[in-house]
Amino acid sequence: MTFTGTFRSGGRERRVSVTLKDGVLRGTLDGKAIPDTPVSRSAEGILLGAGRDAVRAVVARDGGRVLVHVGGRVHEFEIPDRTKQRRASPGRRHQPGDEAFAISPMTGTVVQVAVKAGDAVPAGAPLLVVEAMKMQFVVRAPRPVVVKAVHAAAGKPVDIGAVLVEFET
Amino acid sequence: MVPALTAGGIAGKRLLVANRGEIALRVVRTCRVLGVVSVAAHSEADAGMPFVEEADEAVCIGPGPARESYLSVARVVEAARNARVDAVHPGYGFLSENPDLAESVEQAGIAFVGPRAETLRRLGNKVLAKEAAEKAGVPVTRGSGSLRDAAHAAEEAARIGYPVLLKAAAGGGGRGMRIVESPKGMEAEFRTASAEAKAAFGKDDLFLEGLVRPARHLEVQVFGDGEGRVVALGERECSVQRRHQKIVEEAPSPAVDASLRARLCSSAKALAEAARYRGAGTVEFLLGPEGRFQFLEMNCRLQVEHPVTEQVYGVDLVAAQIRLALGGGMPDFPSGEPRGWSVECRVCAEDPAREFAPSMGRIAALEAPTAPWVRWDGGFAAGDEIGPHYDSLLGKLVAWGDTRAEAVDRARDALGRLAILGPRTNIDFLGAILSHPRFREGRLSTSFLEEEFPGPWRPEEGDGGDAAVLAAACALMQEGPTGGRSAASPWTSLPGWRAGAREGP
Repeated sequence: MTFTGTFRSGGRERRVSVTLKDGVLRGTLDGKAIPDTPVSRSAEGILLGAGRDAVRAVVARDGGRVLVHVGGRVHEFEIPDRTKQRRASPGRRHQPGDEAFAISPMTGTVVQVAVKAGDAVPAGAPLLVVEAMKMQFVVRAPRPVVVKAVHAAAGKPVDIGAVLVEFET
Repeated sequence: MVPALTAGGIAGKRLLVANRGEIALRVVRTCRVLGVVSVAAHSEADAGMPFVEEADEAVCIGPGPARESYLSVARVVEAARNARVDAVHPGYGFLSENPDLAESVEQAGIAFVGPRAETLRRLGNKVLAKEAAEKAGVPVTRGSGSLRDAAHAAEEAARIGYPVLLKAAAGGGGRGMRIVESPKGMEAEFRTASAEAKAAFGKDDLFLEGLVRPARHLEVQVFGDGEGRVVALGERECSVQRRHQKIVEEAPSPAVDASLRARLCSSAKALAEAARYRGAGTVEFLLGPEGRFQFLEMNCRLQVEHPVTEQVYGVDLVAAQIRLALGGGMPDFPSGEPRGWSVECRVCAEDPAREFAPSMGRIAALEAPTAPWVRWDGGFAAGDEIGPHYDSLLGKLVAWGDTRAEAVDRARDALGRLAILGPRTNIDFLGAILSHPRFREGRLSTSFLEEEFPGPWRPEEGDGGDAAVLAAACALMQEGPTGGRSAASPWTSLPGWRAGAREGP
């Protein structure tokens, strides 16, 4: 079996082209040859390498992502499109602090709205409160902002990632 | 079947489990060991969860929102009657300390696994519990009675002195609890705390307590036969808290020696004996910097963190609860000092990098470590959906060691091997706590996390290390060029690689 594709994780691209034959993985990673790596199953996942250097990984697919647990960490990869290389889609994940809006941190219910259009609020001021799993989560201004619009009302359900408050830019 | 386990004539009796997640599964499995028939009462959202599948019988008690299912006394009682059970186990949280449930269940001739309704009314109410503690000669904190509104709270706070702690009289688990530093924060905090209390417990009664800072959170496990005989099984330390929610617990406490332990236990026993306490309960204390302790509250139920006590005393508290409730009598608890050390980490579906916001979604894979000394009390499996209706606790990782350092090392190693893929979890954060020098030295207080881990916490980026990329490639290879599992795969399946729904048992 062979696999050729590009994984994306945290803005980084990893090109991989490998063949698995007779339990040994051979090929290249980012254009460089990898050492021949024995691959086998273990009770709890897959083992890469052999003996003392073997690394155990648990891998699962979750929608459009592949999730890998290795060395105590979870790595998330977008599943590569094998027919054509896409550009990393910009703007799907925002850096904290520079957004033009506040999004809902979770799927839940808006329980309180503390601002309205036109309000100028300092950094860290509460904008609204979302509740889920019996916990209330306060959405705060990431920096001093002027509220342009509020897309939320107390008592209404919201999805994770939904834009709740837009800021003037 | 081992005769000792089923002794007391309880085998064949029926028990309704009125809870969900890890604790429901724990009760279901204990029933099996005891030969008791378990009936899982579950919400529509939880159909198919492990605690439902593993129970001998299951009954749906309502839709997903807890108020319409797990928090409905009427639905639970109706389920108990229809299922013709002999006892109802309420777990922790939800209705576990609700006197109306205890009363309704017992009026229907069914045993309630927990204290009597009158005990819950008195000791479950934090204001009345304090009066009872004072009467039993237990040192207590300064505080107020029940509060009418924010203005009344401000008045009482001025008398007690800021900072104060606003608490739900019916509370637990930090819900409806807020620190108020000065008068100007009172109105907003009062409103949030009463909304949280209403949502979590169905009651919004609040009261105030003077805040002891810095303090350690200690608690003593008690177990009573309901007729005045009570045993105390040492202390747990639960100082590692985030927003009053315990995250890491241990037994014994590094701050407690045999003489302090004896004094803590005798205070806890005095309170529980005076109440002729029945079943498992916990008496919580704050330990001030000068070594003086004060009564905080009593939790009239099984605690989340009961496994650490079980490990150092070699007891099964859930089996003891069930046996007592079903008429099998009080077990022979060990006396004396704890053996070794036990640490518990609460693994939650929340994202530390985003201020610990709950993280939802389907669990794509879950592999829990097993080893001598390591215990995983989990409630979910690959394919289960973590939704918005309930608490974010996924499970508890517990490790035992001869010494505290050994227990902590084992817990840390086990956390590194606990793979939960799908929702974000606090596993990395727990590992960082266990590695922190101040934690390792045992210099804890309830503000430990605020002081050492302020703000959002970011783990080292999972940046797609070489092994992770290669493992991902190996897994995708199996799908073949069009997706879906290739029939010609040299391995028919990779454990942990589950592209579709949960695989059958």
